[in-house]
Amino acid sequence: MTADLALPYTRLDPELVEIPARARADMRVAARVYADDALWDQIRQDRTLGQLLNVATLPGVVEPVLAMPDAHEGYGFPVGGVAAFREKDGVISPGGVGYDINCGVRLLATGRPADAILPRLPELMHELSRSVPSGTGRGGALSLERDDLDRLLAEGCGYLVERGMATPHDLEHTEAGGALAAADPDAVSPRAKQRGHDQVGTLGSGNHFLEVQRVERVFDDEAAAALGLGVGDCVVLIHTGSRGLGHQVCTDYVKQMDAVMRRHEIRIPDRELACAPFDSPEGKRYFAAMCAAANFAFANRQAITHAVRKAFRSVVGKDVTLRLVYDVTHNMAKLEQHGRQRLVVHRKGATRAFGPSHPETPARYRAIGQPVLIPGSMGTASYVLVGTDAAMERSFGSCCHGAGRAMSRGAARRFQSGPDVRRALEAKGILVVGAGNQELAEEAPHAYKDVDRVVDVVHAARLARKVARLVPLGVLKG
Amino acid sequence: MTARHEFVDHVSELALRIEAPSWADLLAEAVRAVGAELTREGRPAGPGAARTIEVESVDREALLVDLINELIFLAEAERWAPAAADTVDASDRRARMRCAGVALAGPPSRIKAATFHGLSVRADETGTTAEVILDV
Repeated sequence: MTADLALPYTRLDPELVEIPARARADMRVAARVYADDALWDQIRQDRTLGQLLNVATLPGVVEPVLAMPDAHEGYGFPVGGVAAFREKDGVISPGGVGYDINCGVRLLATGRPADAILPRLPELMHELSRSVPSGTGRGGALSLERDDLDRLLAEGCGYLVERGMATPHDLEHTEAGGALAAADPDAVSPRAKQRGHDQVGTLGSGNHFLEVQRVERVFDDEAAAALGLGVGDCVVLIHTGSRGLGHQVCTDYVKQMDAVMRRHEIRIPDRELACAPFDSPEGKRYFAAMCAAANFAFANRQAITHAVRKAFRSVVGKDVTLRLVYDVTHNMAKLEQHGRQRLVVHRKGATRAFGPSHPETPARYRAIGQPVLIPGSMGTASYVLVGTDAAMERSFGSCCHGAGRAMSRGAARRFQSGPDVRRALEAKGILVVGAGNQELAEEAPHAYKDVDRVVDVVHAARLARKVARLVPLGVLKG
Repeated sequence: MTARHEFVDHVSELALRIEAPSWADLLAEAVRAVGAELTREGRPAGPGAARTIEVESVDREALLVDLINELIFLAEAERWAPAAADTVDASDRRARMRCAGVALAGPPSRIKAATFHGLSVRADETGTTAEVILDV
C-alpha cells in the first residue's frame, strides 16, 4: 500500500479538501475530496488519491474530479469517485463504472412495526434465504431464454410488470423508471448473456446483502413522512447489482477499449482507465451495453423484491404489502444536463443525489428531493437521506454510497474470526443467515469506516440531508 | 526459480503474484493458482473434461488478464475449473494451454474478474514475475 501523503492540498472548509491541478503535470483539472480531518487521514493512507488524480488526466474531464467521504482504493477509478466528461470531446470508461454495473440499493417499507415482526424473524430469515439465492453464480428463480433475456435487457423492470413481478408504482419509484432507454441488447456479448441468463433474482456474493431493519431514528420528520417512514417501522434494504452479466460486459469492453486507445490518441496512467471518446463507435457501444446491464440490475433487484414480498406474505401475513420507497444505483455512467453542459457523469461507488427541483426526482418526492440510500457495514447502521439542489453545484448531484472499506479482507479475517463476528452480531440481537465464516469475517463492521461519520460529512457538506437511521434485525449475506 | 504463486492483500480486492522460470511456465502457474481458488469455493464434484484453452491479446499483460478471465467465465458459466495445466504454445500475444479439469458442484469462487490495474509482467535472466489484481 502506497500512501499519498506528500501531495499539496488546501482545506476549503471543514468537509472539503482540494488538490490543485498543479499537483501533477499530467492533471487537467483539480481534485476535491469531501472528508473531515479523520476521514481525510484515512483516505490518504492508501492509493485513493493517486487513483483520483489519474482520473483528472483523462480527456474532456470537467473540473473537479471528486472523492466522497467513503472513498477507498479500488482499481482504475477509486471507489467513491465521481468524474464528469463533456459529451462532445470527453471519454467514457468502463473502469469508471466498475465491474458490477448498476450495483445499487432499494428500500421497501413494510408498513408494520418491527416489534410485530420480531417474534417471527427466525422463520422469516429462513424463508428469505430459501427464496433469494446468494453466493457467486447461484441461479435464480427466473431462468431466461435468449429472446426473453434480450427483452429484459432492453426494458428493465418494465419487462417484469407483464410477468407479474413488478407494479407501475415500483417503476415510478426506481431511478430512471427501472429502464435506461439507451440500452441495446445486441451490444451485450453472448458470453455475458450466458453468465446472466439464470441470475435474475439472485443476491450474489461479497458485500451484497438483504437486511430486515428497524427505523431507529428520524432526523427530518417532514421528509420521513413523505417517504412513509416512522420510528420503529420495519423496512427491508436490498443491495446487489448486475451479477456475472455486468462483470462480463465490463471485462469485454475494458479489453476492447484497451485495444483502440492508440487509434484515438489517448494516453492513460493506468490501463484499467481504458476509455474511448463518448462520441465514438466504441464509446457509444459500451454505453449501450452498460445501459443494458444496468437494466438487468434494476430487474434483478425487482425480482428479489418479488421474492421478498412472497416470503413476507407467507410468514408475516397475507395482507402485508411491501411498498418500494426508492431504488438507486451507485455504479453507473449517465448522460446528464449540468448547467449548460451535457456531461457523462461517472459514479463509481457514489450515489446520485438530485435535489427537489430536478425533473428526474419522482413526483411524490418533489418537495423533499430524491431519496438516497446508504447501506452501512453489516451490524452497524444504514441511512436514508434526500438529495439537495446544492449537490448539483457541489458534486454533480452525487454523494457517498456506503461506509467505505477501511481494511483488506485478509486483515479483517486476521482481526476477528467468522464465528466471533457471528457471536458479536447475535449479542446485539442481529440474526445472520447465508454467510460462511470467511465472508462474515471479511465483511465485519471493523473492516469498514464509521458510517455515521461518513454520513455526517455528506450532510454537513450539503450533498444530501439525513432523514432516518436504520439498524439491522436480520441479515442475509451474499 | 521454481514456479510459485501467492495471493496478497489489497484494500478491497485480491492481488495474485506469480513467478516462474519462463513465460510459458508462468501462464501454467496462473492457471493452477486461479483454478485452485475457483475450485475451493465451487467444491469439486468429480473429474471434469480435459480442455484446450486458447487466448489471444495485444501483449503479455493483456494475455495474462484474458487467460484468467477465461477461467472465471468457464467456472461461472460451465461449472468447470482447471486442476492442472501444460502450456502447449505461448508467445507474447497468444497462448494455448491443455488443462485437466474438475466439475464444480456449486457456486465457484468469489473472484469475478481480472483487472488491468497495477498489472505487471517482468522478465529477467532469472525468470518471469507477474502481478494482477482480481476483482472480488
